Amino acid sequence: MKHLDKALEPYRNKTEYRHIGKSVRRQDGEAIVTGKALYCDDLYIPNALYMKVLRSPHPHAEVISIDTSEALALPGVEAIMTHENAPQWKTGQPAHRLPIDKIVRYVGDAVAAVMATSKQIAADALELIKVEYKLLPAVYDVEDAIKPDAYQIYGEEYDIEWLGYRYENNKLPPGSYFEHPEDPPFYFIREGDPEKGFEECDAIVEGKVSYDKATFPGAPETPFIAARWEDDDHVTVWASSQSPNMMSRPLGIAIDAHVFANVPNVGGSYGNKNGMGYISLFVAAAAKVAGKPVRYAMSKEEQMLVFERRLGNKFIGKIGVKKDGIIHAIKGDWLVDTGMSAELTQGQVAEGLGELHIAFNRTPHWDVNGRVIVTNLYPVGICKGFGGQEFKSCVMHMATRALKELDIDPFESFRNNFCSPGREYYWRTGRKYKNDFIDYDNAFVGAAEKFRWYDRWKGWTTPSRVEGNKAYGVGFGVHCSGDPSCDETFAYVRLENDQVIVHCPTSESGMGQRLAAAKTVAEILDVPMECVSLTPSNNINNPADFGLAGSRGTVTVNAACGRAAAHAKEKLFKLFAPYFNCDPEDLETKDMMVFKKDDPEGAVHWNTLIHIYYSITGEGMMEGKFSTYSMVLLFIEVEVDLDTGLVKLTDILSGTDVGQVMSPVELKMQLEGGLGAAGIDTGHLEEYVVDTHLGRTLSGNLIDYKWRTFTELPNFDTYVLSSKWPTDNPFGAIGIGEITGAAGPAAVAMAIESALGGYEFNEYPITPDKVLKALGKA
Amino acid sequence: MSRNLNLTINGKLYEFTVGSRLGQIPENETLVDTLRDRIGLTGTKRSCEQGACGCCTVIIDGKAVASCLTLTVECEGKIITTIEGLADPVTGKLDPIQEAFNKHNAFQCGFCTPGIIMSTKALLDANPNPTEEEIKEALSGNYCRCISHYQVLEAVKSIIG
Repeated sequence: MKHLDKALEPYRNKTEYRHIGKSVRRQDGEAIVTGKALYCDDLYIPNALYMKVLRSPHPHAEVISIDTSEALALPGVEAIMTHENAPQWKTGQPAHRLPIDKIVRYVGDAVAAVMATSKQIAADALELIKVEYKLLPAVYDVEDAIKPDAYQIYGEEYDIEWLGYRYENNKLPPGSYFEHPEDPPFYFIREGDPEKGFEECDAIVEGKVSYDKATFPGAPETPFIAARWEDDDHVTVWASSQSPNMMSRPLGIAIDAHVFANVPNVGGSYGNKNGMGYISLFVAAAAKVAGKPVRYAMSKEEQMLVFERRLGNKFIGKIGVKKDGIIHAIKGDWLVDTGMSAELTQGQVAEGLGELHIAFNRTPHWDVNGRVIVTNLYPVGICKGFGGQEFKSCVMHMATRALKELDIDPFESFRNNFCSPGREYYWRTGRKYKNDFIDYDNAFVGAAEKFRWYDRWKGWTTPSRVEGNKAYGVGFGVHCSGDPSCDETFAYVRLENDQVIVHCPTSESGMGQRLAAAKTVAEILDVPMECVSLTPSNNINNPADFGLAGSRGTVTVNAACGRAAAHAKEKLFKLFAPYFNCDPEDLETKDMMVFKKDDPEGAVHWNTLIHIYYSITGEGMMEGKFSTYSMVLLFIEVEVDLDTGLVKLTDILSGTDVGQVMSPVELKMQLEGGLGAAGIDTGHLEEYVVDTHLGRTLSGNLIDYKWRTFTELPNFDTYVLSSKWPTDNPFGAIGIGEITGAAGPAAVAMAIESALGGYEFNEYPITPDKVLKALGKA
Repeated sequence: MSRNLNLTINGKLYEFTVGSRLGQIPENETLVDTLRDRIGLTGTKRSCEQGACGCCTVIIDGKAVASCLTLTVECEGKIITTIEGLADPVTGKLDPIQEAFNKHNAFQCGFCTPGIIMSTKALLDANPNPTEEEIKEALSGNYCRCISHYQVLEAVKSIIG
């Protein structure tokens, strides 16, 4: 790839491009605004049966008996899957979750699946299934779950002896596939001498901060999977997945089959519909049992009550700060509630630790331990922010207590603690990586100026202003992720006739990454955008790619596609060199014409040599690395109603440095998207209300779960720098989408505390009842 | 017993019978299911099925309506317009709202977009020159989790007054 990078070098140094950085219509735009864009549930799948799932009303129980005879006799019912006939495949991290288990572990756990010729028949049949349960003790809080006498949610039979995996005290074995195979699991940071470190501190705070309420990532399109077994070894899957390979590769391993994954338009994901590990396993199992294709679109309630949610967590520990604002020592337990199952929660622990280490990069003394704990709440999956949002909402918030004691400006402290060029940080493998070139300090300074932070921050105990019964406060947060260049992406670029075809399995779930890939290829081949098309997102027509996670698409997809385009161009010039009787290096191309650099008038069309049945294919790839990290700053003003306790966000500024803007409108919307997907709004608004006597979630629908409407939009400003980072992106860009809301909850909490003159909250979200309590009015 | 049910959707007449036999529309079928599963008009999106998210919005007799809360059997004689019915049926020219959304890239995942466009259409048909507050109010029943709201407002404002 090195010679291709040389060919791409001039592109990084340009300041003006034909396509990059320009506002361009999305290729799928017309289809979206006319309703022609196809999402999974819009597809016709011949002979597919519809599936409905009978779910447990109990948080923890054993299925003593199940009688499906009456349901099976209903005309139109073709098959029923229960724990008695379901394949014994397992998914999760480590593999611990069967399609249907004899033990149900949360309200909503699958008990039986009916496959029928219509949705209505399947739904009717559910009511005919008779189940007898033996109730078991349930636990909903991580601190209760790890007590020695707590009931074991996964018994000894789930231990994987040869891997040393045991489920003692409801703790899941640490480690995920993020570590190098020869490395130990990464779930703690121990460095320096914390006890000595605390002695050297000027302020020490100790306690507990909880960001432990379940929240809803919230994709408008509910999760969808359809599966059709072609033979015993091959299964075709349609998935509303953000990343076809992240769904199909783990599934293929779990079910020991080749998975052909198809991903049409995806109706929102926010990381949440990436892996879809359990639901894909479940539908593949159902299709196996039925002997026919099965399609399953979750209802909204199922999506909200049984699909994968954002993780909940608590930090119980101690943080010490020196009077210069440097976080000097940190010690504590990070208790992560993964519900009854972990899709990749241990990976979120690894990334959360790394994200904290980038933010607290000057801290010499560490003893922080992450524990993934199972409870009888519904399962945790993947969601943008990925461990770091949840962890830092607790830890950085706790650290502000010490800053308050020393009367230190939180913006200045967090800025000075942040990783700078030449420094090292932990990332998800448990190894340290060096930041060679990224310096976000200009973004810190410029964004603070634009928000007028120094005018608006009046200290820890003084609101920005009070107007009548409204108090205003400002807060600040910073988030970062080492994922923007992680993992591998491969791409091919084909030149055929009068078109350019890009093979890359990148799906479109809203971020505009397919647009970016097309722009990159169009820029490097210097062709109009309308000549470039991407193959449908699937894993058969396209080479491997980890998927869209951790904002990696901007670097990795465009690196692979850019290199493939450069490779195709190189082959094009080799093809044309004899025709022009010159060296390939003497040739140039624009608008599908090839010409000698010194004779543009003599240009001929590609088709002169790329005949109707001829093809040139360029290959490109990007090898993953962890030496770059993204960063998003959030400055937030809140208005607190002193009579009702209602908190409103009034003014937000999101600041970053993206190296090079790929698509300005899409970038702006990604930044604004921090308000969605259980991001900023989990600071004061969003939570599932759970009845911990019954284990039931009471707000599992879009009426009771609070979400932001068009009438509740804060002023939203952005501050974006383009410092041209030497990333693998051909134009010097880095992605930021994954983390745009992650710093939000802690910033909102800081702002509310400031508005209330320094009252301290230790539990999210800070809802009106908590504010009224703080005001002594409840 | 079965009875006839005639639906006028996007200017076309669809003739059904109501009943519980194969191919008939049962009394409890919602309009979103009829549109999507029987007529193939999949631009109307099925999402919350509780009238909370607006993804299934269609226009019935000039008003934006959640088709997931509308029984198909109640639509006899009513004029129904879906997202597929906005473009000029002869020339294929997009409705100005669709054109504005496309020009402004006023969507991310696009799943909620048909519903937002239909709510906008009903608003502008009734009130061609709304204030920003009136636009926000008209769209307050439309859920968008990507947060394309700000860009949607830009798109809508670009075609009024």
